[in-house]
Amino acid sequence: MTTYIRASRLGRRDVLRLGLGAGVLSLTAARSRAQTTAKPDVVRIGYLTAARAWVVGKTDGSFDKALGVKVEWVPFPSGGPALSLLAAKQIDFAIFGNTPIVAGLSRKLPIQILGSPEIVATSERLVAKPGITTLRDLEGKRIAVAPSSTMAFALEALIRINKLDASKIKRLPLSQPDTIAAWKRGDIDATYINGPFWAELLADGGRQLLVSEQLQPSGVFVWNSAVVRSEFAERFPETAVAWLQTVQAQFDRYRSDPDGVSRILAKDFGAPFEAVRDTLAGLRYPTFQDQLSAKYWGDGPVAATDAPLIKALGDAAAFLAETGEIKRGDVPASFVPAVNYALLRRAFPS
Amino acid sequence: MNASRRFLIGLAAVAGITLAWEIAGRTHLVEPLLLPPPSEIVTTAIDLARDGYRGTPLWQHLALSLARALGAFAAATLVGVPLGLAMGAAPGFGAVLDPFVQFLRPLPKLALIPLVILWFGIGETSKVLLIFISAALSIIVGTAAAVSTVQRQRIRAGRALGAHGLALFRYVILPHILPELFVTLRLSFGIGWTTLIAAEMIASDAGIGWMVVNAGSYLRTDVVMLGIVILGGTGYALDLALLGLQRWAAPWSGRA
Repeated sequence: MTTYIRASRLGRRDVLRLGLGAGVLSLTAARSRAQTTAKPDVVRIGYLTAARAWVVGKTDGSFDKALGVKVEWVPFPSGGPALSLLAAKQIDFAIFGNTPIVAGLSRKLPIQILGSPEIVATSERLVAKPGITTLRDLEGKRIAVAPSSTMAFALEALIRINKLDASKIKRLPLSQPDTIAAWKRGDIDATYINGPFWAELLADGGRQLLVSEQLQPSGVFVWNSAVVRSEFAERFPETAVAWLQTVQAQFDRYRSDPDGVSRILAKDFGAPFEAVRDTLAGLRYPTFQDQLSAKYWGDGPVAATDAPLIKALGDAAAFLAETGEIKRGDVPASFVPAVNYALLRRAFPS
Repeated sequence: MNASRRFLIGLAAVAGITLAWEIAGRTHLVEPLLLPPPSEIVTTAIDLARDGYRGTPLWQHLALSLARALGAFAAATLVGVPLGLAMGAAPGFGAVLDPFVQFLRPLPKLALIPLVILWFGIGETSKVLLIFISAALSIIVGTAAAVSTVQRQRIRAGRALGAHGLALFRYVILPHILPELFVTLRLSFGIGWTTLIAAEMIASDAGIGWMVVNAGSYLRTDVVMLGIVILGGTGYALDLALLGLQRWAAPWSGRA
């Protein structure tokens, strides 16, 4: 009872004590709020040194504005170096091919997949010398393909699907510029190659046998995924959400004005406008909302097990293990946990 | 300090570093993805020795790289030493070739790859040629420099004693330049060996240099480290072999 009476007659000291307590409470509350909305000092975005529609946001500071922090852009020539950059914690986000991503995940690289904003359709093509008119004609021929690329994966898939004799086809690992030189010298008979390189070969009398999109009915998908370092996504989820939304905004911008975006990128990359326009047109850009459907990733971890792209990740891993690039024992049992559905849903509520 | 003591100290240093490296990996002080511990590299070595890498046995990768490097080095010696001798002995001839040699020698050989492919294709010729170029140029420069250090008095003395042409070369010039020539060859082999990676970036699907680059693009750091150990160990062994050859052929090295 005494306490009750004392509480009813608050002294100056009690008020002070109360005030102090409230102060501490509100401080801790502020700190915990700060933890969920914490912002990094700088966000480092990795991008492929090729024309990519979303990179238009690099030229006008869209990402700096949307994220509210300093943004650094780190270029990489292909997926392999991108893995090294992520492992060394030199970049936080990147968009690159599914094959290297699978290799990274099986090496337990702490990254998470955030959808697949770019699906390869006609940007990668199989081009052959005149005289080679069917896929069967490729037997006994030399085909150049960029090593550890999505094209190398597509070529193997193509050989398997069409039941060609793999032992009769000589695959030559060549970078794409070197492929052009080898083609001109007559050292190769065909190549699976990306835009804008095929334009030069087609102009040189080359014959297009296939585009990657034609492999999709057989379940072979080639795409570029957005990825984030797991540690970054856990510490700064809000920044990751804002980044995803900004990426989507760049693709929206491209959809409404493909020529305008191509022109800006052509200037930024120092490439001819037509080449950039045709390369960009060779990819399909499903929105993130679309990606979270049964057509791509499924709408959540539960429904995802037989989503086409989850299955395709498993196929890519099996292919890499078979060729000996990764250890079979390293391949994760399921790729579902590698996709951060929660973050995607937060950025793009259904 | 005698030789066996030096060897023991070196061995202890290697063992100490290997142990510290293993502990750092085991305790996750260093992420194994970034620097796989020695035990993982040994496991990978056993795996690759048994199953090969990308369908080629490990020893074949090494044999192929050795064949490319040693073939190129032999050709570079056969071309470089006479050319260097001629440049050193005949200043006029040396003055003609010197600008070209000095221009090409410091050039990063990676820069030559597109041209080499255009001119010589994507076969073995291009790969061997790239190693040949980098080794031959240093051999030429080193040999020419060695010849120019032969003192005039010695040549005059040799002439006065009746030596001319081949005899003068055999008994005066060669004994003088041989120790320096071996140093040049050892350095040039090292330079040629480092070009292996660049050479094996041309349309390869085998070779230790190719293995390192390919494994790197799949984040197979264990294979990368194994390749580095093999490249370094082989380079070291070949240098020791050259050193042995020098002791046999020019035992007066460092004493004359």
